Amino acid sequence: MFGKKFGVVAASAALVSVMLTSCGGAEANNGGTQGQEAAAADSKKSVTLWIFDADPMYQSAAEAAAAETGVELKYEYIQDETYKTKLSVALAANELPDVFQQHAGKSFRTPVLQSKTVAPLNDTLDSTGLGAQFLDNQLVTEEDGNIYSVPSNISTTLVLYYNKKLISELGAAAPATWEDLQSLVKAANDKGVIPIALGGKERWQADLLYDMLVAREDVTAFDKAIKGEAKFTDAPFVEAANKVTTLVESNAFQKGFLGSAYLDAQELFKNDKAVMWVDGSFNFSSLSAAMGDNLGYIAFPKTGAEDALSATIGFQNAEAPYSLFVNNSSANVAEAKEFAIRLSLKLNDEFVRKGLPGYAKSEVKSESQNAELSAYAADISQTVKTQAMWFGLLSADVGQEYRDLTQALYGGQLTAEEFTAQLETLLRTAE
Amino acid sequence: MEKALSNKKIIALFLLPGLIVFLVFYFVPIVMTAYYSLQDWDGINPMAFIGLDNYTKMFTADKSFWQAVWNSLAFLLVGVLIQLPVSFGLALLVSRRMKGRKWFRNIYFFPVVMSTTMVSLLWVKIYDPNIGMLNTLMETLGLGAWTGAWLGDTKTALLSVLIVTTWHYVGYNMLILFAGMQGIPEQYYEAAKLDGATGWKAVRHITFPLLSDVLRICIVLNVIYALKTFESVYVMTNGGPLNSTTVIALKMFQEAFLKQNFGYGSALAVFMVLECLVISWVLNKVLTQEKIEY
Repeated sequence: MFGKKFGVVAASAALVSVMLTSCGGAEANNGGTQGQEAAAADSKKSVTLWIFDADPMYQSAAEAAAAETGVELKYEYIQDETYKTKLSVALAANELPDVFQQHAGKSFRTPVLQSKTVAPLNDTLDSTGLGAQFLDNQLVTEEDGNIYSVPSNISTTLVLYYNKKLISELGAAAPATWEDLQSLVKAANDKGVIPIALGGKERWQADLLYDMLVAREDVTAFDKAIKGEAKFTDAPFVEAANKVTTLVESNAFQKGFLGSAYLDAQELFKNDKAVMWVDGSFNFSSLSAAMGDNLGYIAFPKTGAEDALSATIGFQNAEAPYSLFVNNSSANVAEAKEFAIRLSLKLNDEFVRKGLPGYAKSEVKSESQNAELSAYAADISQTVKTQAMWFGLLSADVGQEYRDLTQALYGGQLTAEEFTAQLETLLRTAE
Repeated sequence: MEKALSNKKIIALFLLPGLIVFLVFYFVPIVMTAYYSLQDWDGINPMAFIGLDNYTKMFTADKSFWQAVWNSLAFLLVGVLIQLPVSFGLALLVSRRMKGRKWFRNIYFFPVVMSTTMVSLLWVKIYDPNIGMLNTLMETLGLGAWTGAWLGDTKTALLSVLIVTTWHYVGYNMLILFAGMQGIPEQYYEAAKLDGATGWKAVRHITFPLLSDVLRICIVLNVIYALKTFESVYVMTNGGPLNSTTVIALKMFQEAFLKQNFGYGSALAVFMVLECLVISWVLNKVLTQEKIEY
């Protein structure tokens, strides 16, 4: 009845015009002007890049990759939560930048691939010889045999950070078991310090903690249940939900944590107001910069039957890693493809430099890092299994429902049994 | 020029660009949104016609929809029953000939010039139960027992957001009402004074009746603003905790752009448009009265 693109733009305008004036920020959408700008540029073609990762190494790596490729870089950092909205609108309206970063997980990757707006990279990977630098299985080949993305991050995982100064003042040590964790929560509360800072407003931090608690009960529980070989009402899920309830009831999280934004909660931890912080390993750099030697790290404690190094929760899986995609409508698609690949390799060098396992060959030598990051690198090499975060394995609508459900558990609206019963109903639809 | 402007065809020609802009950017998107509301569509893949299924889901299966409707109505009621009377009171105060009235007027109006995002972020910090000013102030005043998690508690989150929106927009209504009051000739009050009508009597028999048109505009604006509320809720609570502050506009955004249920999001958008139209129409009917002249 109507042209798809016009329809999407028109409907998006109707839906968004009321409310998104504050969300777009100052970042201009360059998609529509790319053609004119390319024509105006006599010597260098330009490439616009959207990045949600706040680590400054992304910009320096992008500048280096642009210089290598011979393009003019238009780098746009967009705050993470805003990025998700902005990208999904740009995707629906086919107004993407030349190159863009995408979060890990099926719920983020699938819409990008289904939109048919991204270019296959096979030809450039082959013609430049750069494809050979990626390690085995690090480039995802889709069902049609094409490679549409290159990695933009290593496999980051969920870890427990702690504040060394506060823990020392409490006369305690980093928790190794469930009992240690409970004792530390009590000790912190007795001293009027927040035990664990948690950003409950965006919900993801809380659902990752639940994922981790389930993995600590049984590392195979989720895989079995999602395949239909077990149920989400089985003991590991109920026990983990009970542990969430115990943590909430023992005031393990700051007052009003359900209304706390992730960054606000992080500030509590950075500013010596909270003892522990459950977050991704991707934050080592920024937390180290803010807290220096005061930052402590441990693999998440043994809260159930499984050992601490039996499994961790990963922010990506092999099929849906953090990626860089290239817009197939880009005015400079060939340059954009080469730029994206070179950027991916530059970022890999930075990870290797930090002592972390990269996804591609690198001639960069690992520089000495702080002890905590070294400990993490050692732990992750010994960790038996990385369980992809559940949200990343679910479709967008089921994933959001899952997050709503975990918030209801943390908010005390559901008992462990009610929660797992609803979980079983919800995730069974995701099969 | 005058001759040209008396020609209806030329007038129509002048109006045409505006009409085209209106049709393309307002009317067509509304019609298209209504069309999408009848589809099962994620915004990317081919759509499938499902008739009124999205509306059936909205009214019967979506538990948070009715919560969102109620919350939107709470914004409406507070806007009309609390914000407007407070604005009226402030407008009365600043219209009096007293020292510093310009200063007061500017102070009350100041929040209006701040962006909603900025105001919301400011209040998020004020409400923060761990480092926020409000709890600290209450503890200092010996009201420690009354401190709360404000935005993080389902019992207080909606009220907390409502207080902020009232604070933010009270000056806007005040200024409109103040301007209306300035248009009431002073001799009416002087004549009333001779008849013994001062204070509240003068307000009731002179200010209220002569301000009825302005009040009606304020009510309609407040209602439309309340039903369209998005930014403040998005920034302060994102609809949480546990959907306690979800409003229709936010739910529409979440469905369309986070859950990628573009069809269902469109159905919510259609509901919101119809809701605004119906309530505005009813209000216009109810509040319309013959112009009063003394």
